[in-house]
Amino acid sequence: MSRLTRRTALALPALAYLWSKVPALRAQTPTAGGKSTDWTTYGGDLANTRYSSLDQINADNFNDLEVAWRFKTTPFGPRPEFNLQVTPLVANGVMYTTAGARRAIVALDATNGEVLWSFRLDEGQRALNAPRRQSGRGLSYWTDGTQERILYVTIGYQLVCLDAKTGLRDPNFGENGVVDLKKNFDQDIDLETADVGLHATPCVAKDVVIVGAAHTAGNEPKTYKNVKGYVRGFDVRTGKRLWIFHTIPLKGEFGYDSWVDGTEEVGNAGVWAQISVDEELNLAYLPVELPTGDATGQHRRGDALFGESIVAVDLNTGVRKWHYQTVHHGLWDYDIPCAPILCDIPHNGKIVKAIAQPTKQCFLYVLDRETGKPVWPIPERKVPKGSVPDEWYSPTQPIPSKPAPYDVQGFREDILIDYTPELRAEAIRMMKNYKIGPMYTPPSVYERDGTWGTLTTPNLTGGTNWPGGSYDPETSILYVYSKSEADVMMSVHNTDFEKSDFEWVNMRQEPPRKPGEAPIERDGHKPGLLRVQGLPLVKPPYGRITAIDLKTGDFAWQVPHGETPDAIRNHPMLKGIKIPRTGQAGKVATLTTKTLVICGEPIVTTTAIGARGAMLRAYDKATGEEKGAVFMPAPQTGSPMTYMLNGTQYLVLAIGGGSYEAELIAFKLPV
Amino acid sequence: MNTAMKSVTMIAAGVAALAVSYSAFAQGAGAAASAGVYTDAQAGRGKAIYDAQCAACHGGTLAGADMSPPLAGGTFLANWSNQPLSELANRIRTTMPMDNPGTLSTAQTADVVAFILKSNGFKAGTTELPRNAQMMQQIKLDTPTGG
Repeated sequence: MSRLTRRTALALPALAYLWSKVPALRAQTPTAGGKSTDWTTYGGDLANTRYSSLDQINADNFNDLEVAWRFKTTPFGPRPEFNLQVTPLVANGVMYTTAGARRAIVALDATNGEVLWSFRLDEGQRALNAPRRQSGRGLSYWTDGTQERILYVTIGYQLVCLDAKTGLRDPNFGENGVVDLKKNFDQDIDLETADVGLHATPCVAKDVVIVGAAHTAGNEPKTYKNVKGYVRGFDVRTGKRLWIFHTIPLKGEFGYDSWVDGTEEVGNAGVWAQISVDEELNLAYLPVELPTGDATGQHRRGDALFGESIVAVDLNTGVRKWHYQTVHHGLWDYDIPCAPILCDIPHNGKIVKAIAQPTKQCFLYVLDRETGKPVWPIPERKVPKGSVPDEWYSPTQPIPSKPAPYDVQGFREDILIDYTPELRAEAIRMMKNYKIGPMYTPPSVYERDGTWGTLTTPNLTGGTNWPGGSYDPETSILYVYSKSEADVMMSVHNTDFEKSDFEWVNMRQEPPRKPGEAPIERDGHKPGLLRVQGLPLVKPPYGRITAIDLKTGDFAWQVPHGETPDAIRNHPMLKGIKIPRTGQAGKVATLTTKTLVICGEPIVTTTAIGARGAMLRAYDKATGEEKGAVFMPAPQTGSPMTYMLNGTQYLVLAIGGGSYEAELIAFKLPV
Repeated sequence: MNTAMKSVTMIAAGVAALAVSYSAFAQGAGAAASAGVYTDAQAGRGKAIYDAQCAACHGGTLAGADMSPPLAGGTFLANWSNQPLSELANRIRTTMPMDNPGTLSTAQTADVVAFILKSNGFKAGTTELPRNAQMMQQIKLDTPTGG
């Protein structure tokens, strides 16, 4: 949403030029006097760069940051919340955020956190039944220069439009400010119980509101006849449906032929990640998840478009312009979890309008966003075939030639824990209970007296998950956090059809035993338990930040992110062993500024003076060298954002977890 | 078992419980989860509750999913390290399961905490984890020692 006025553009010709050329800067245009800068969309802009050109907070003073204010979300729901994933917005000095277990909307004074207004919708049982509860990732802001609106999706899957000045419903939108998203959905679903909701914000571009869909996670899906996760566009002024895109194509539509058994019954294929938009090309980029069955595909045989695809659709009509499938018939739950990042990159002597998609599998897919064609070749490579009855296997998968995978992929002996020879030896013994192989080795059948499934990494939560990456439009470098964790995927013949109507389900622990069978254990190892003396099976770094230079496709740098966890520093078998910083496994995103890459830690550690907390760290964006670290009482749970108000730069993020109730914490430099 | 034997058994159990309570709480500074603060039977009950109420989101191995945090392993232990077990029990009791929060009894919650302890490698003891929040408040989550 642009807030550039003619006056400010004339006053700041250089910035106005940049504004017109660099999508990332459009959302961060200065307001009165050049002393205030907004943050008006979840990712900082519709390109989802999570970039700010502000530089008052920099390498020289990062360690001086002080808490400016805090906003505790506890009262905004019937019970406390501990996992606040929001990125709040700031427009004209007002911060807008979702908050609390009710997903209330709250407007705050962005200078001090004072509550200006709040809005709540009590949806009763409908919300309790929803697959995505809690406060969600946030909300969206729209203005035509006069009117200002806040839009969000409730826990119970209703699209609400509020007057940003008052918090009152927009009477011209839907029915008294509300559009019931379970209606007019090209399928009949139960308003109370249907398995659909949304954690992401709606995406507002020009005068269109785009809304995706999310469903219950499905290793053992209750039914393959689930709700279909279609994507819709609505008129921001009226709430009228403008278009729908069938992420599972209907008979006769493009993509239907990629399904062996038709599409009539199967569901899911929602878009639960953030959506990006190029307003100039008038295209919206939809990152689609899997059709039903995160790790088992009997009811979606074939490539099954548009599963795990990026789909570019016309912003006004929803008509598909191109699509790119990142995984064919995925069996690893590597659905696309985060926003694609739009970036204009120099390539072969010209500027390519590109789209870069971080993923759970730690490939960064870089495509031309006008055509969907890869910027660097992404050849189809043969992959191992599995042997689960009724399953369908794609013979090949697309493997990017560049950039290189930014975290560990596949499973092999040399990724195992190696602090000591004894630990390595035990890890090897543990590994031998499972099948292993390169990336895209499929889940295998659990055999009580044989192998206990397939070991994988990244695991089914990534790699990179919903927080996604950030991007510097001035240097064309993309930054992304990822974690390294082992996982196991066991294909198990289902015996409980009350629980799931799939013949085969995916498990990560010992399956139900036959009567009289004792729990299985070999050499102290149990199925699915992948810890060696309480330590992770794979070696560190457990979490890292990678800087990928999109001018070349090469890594600029890579650093472990996060202090070595207490459990490793204090482990009795590691006494006396010098361990470099291991990083931490979690779900966090970076913020990029003029000079820094900023990211909080995802877990709690104990500091030298005994205080428990997590650090907010800043790295030199050119080198990866750490420039500062500020203590927080709890880990980062929502991605950091920044804005300037009356000459002061603020840095705000959501923290919480463990026994620490969720809050927004705002930092600024001392006066 | 006759009445007299039952009484003896109950007294013996009571003495054992007191002995553990003493060892666990007498120091005043409180006890540690690694001292063996639940029983295998309790963890077994906790597993049944977990499978029915929690596993759909947190997974059979307590590894978490896209939307739900892990309840076993390094991240979980780090975020709860040195916290009283009453805090963990309180969070479970007041916010979980998310589709029906507040419906687990204090006893069921204690059973689930016992199962979580077991899943994280804390060894079992001979006395059940109490449902009483004031008692649980004196037991801190430390480092598992296996079991």
